[in-house]
Amino acid sequence: MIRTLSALILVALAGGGAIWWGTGGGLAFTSETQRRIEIAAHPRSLPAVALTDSTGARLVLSDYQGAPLLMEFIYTTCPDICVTLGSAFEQIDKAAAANLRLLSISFDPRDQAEQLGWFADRHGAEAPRWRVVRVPDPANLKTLLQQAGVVVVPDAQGGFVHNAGLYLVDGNGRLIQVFDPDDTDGALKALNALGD
Amino acid sequence: MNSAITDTEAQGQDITAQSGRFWVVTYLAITGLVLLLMMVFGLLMRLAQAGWLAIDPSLFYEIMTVHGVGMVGIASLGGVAVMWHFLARYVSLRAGVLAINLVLFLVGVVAMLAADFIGGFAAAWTFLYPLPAVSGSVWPAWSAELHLFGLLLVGVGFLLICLEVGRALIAEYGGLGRALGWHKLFFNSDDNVPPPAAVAAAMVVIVDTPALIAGAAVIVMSLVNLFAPTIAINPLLAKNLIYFFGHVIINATIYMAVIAVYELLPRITGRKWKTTRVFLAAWTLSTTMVLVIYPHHLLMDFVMPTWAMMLGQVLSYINSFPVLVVTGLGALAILHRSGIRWDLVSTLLFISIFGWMAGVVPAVIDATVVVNSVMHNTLWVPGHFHFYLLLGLLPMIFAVMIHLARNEDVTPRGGDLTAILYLLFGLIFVIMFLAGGWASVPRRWAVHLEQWQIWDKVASVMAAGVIVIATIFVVMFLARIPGMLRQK
Amino acid sequence: MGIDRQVAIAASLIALALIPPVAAWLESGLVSHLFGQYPLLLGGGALIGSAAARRHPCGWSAAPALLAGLLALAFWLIPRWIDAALADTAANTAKVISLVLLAGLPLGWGWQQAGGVLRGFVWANVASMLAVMGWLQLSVPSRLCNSYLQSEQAVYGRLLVAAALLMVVGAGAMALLGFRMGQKPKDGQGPAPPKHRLDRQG
Repeated sequence: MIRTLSALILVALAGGGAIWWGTGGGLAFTSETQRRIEIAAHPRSLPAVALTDSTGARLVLSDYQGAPLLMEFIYTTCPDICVTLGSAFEQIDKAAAANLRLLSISFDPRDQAEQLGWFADRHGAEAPRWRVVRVPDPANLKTLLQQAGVVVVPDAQGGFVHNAGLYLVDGNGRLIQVFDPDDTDGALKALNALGD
Repeated sequence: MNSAITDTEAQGQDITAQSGRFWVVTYLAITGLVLLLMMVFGLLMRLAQAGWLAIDPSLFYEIMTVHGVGMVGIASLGGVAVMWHFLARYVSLRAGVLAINLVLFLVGVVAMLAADFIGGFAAAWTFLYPLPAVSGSVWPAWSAELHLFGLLLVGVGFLLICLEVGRALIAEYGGLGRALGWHKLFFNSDDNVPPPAAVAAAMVVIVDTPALIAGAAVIVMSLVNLFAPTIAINPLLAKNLIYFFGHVIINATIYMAVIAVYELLPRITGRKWKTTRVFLAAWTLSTTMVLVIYPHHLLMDFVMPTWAMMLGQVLSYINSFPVLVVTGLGALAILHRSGIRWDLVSTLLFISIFGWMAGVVPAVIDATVVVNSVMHNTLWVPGHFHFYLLLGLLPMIFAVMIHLARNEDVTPRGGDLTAILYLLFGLIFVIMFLAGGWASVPRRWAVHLEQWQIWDKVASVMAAGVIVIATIFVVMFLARIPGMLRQK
Repeated sequence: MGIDRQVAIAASLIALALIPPVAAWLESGLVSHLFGQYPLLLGGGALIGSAAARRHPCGWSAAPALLAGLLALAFWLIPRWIDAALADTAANTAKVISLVLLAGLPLGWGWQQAGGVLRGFVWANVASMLAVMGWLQLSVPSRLCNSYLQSEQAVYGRLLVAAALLMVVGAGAMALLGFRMGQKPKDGQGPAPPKHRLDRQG
């Protein structure tokens, strides 16, 4: 009886402890929350990958250093979540300070300048405030996605499923926080705090 | 089987029976004490509604929550004690489970009392989603979490009781179906026919186990929602689960306690309560129906599927009747020309059958969709459940307490006047609820309009009377505890 | 079943779950991963555990073993660790080892030696928690596993709820019929019911 009871308590402590550790103290049950907590705790510097925008102009991600940048990862034929992302950017575009830059990055190799242009037109994106870009080099794309923690899974209809979010990058080019696609208020608040 | 083994087994059973007796007495003592406290809480609420006592409405709802969950808890605890006491004669039960359940019960009760009176949680014992999480900052989230956690512990304890009783029944009869007497009912076999106590216990195990599983699920879901408010519960799903759980649990308490009638009336009259096929059929029917009639609590939810509502209405009409009728008629048959001399125990048992039967009538009326939509949120419904708990369930438990206090000696010793007074006070008390309901007085209102208060005032006086008599019963029992435990 | 045969079956279940093409196929979908590979690994471990318990019984350890197995399983049901196992070979190795040795084995060891009440208790709790997990999969508005599709998450959620219902109904039917399924006792001469059959080891 005593043996069973003490063994039960030990097992409960060990198992509970493992689960506590494995969820970052009961906070992160999904890798998505885990990723966001990690990014907020340890901002990540992003690689200086080469980009091409909807007009065919070439630039490098590190060009954006010096002012806050909000990124999102999309593909132009995306029927649902990227539309939400697009409209989130539209709202932030209207509300945010003048020095903010917005960047919609496509991870679909099929997206060329023409398709990026459609997306830009649909949401009223205008350079230099808001560019819609692709990463021409697949190796670069992979590094960027990995560094930002974006997981892209092809779905059955020829599209993709991806962990959508709004990625806040500070003036030093470090990814400091990730927001839900519909959390424009949170993103704006963080942007204002950066501006101060 | 050689005699040596039989001897050790018999000895082992003796020891089990002894410790079982200790726990049964403990259970009944706690039941009695908590019962009186909860009755006082009830009286306080009626006094407040009568305008005789100023109670802050938020305190009123805390008291209402404690009163509700406390009464359901002790109805279960007392029911288990009654069931265990009599069932232990037929099957071999291990009393250790009673101890574990009591520990879980007490820890759960302390958690809930702290959550309700210190934390201010007051979402009623039904903790209907999303009320626990959306209190308008009347109570903090931790109090809701603590209350639900306490309720979960109590539920886990009762699950263990159900499993142990189920195990013992299966070991003795070879399956819960046979413990319900299906072999006699369907095949007319007389092989090891279960006594009424075993049939009732089998029913309780069959209905309570799934109810507790559903209850645990919905409590954990509510806890998840409290910790992570973005994860919402479908409110209709939550309501279905909660009422499946709550309805079955409170219903089953009377099916445990009624074993007192099956066991004590035969001893008093010297006539056996036979397990007939009609009796078995009635219990099987009620077992099935208890599991499917809970939608009568959701008759006002127009989004429920029509078939579920119809099932709820129609089956509610017939649900209680089979067991009620076989119990009532069985009791009458035993009493008829038995030359019984009425005393406290037999009168209490007789009152309990009356209270149970009459208490079902308002429920059946309320289970009619057209009536329900105007009556369900009035005092009519408290009128129904107070009727059958106060005058049906409690007299059964009191009868067992007094039976034990009298060393299980069934020689008539008078005292039936006390029982009659209990009936009188109790009856007028519940009629005040029903009258209020009839006049459309809403239920769960802390403050009553002046024209409603006449019923509240009469009810308060009667409640005080009920408490006095109940105290007499409980004290009679408590005073005899040392003797009960000494006795072999 | 002989103990050697039991261990052989266990080994083949585990091997089947780990053959590279089979493993890749099982892990390609949420449902096949959790309702295919997990049960194979757990079942393999459980068969070994129950074989060990038959050879070296140790009654008092049943409840702690069951708790340990369930907690280890719970860990590997956390979406974050399902993702981790897919993204990282080391994590996947840890998953396989824990599911076999820390979850399956103690579950088999404990179940083999548990009495009726303990078995019922575990069964009831697992059923109710599976239902809650299913509800979570269906009601969390976003994807829980980054590596799998939302549509699969919905199927997985429904399967969990179905499994919970099946567990309750199945155990209920077993309890109702006891051990005498199909044996209709004849009038007055049915075999005596097995007395105290379940309460031996508790």
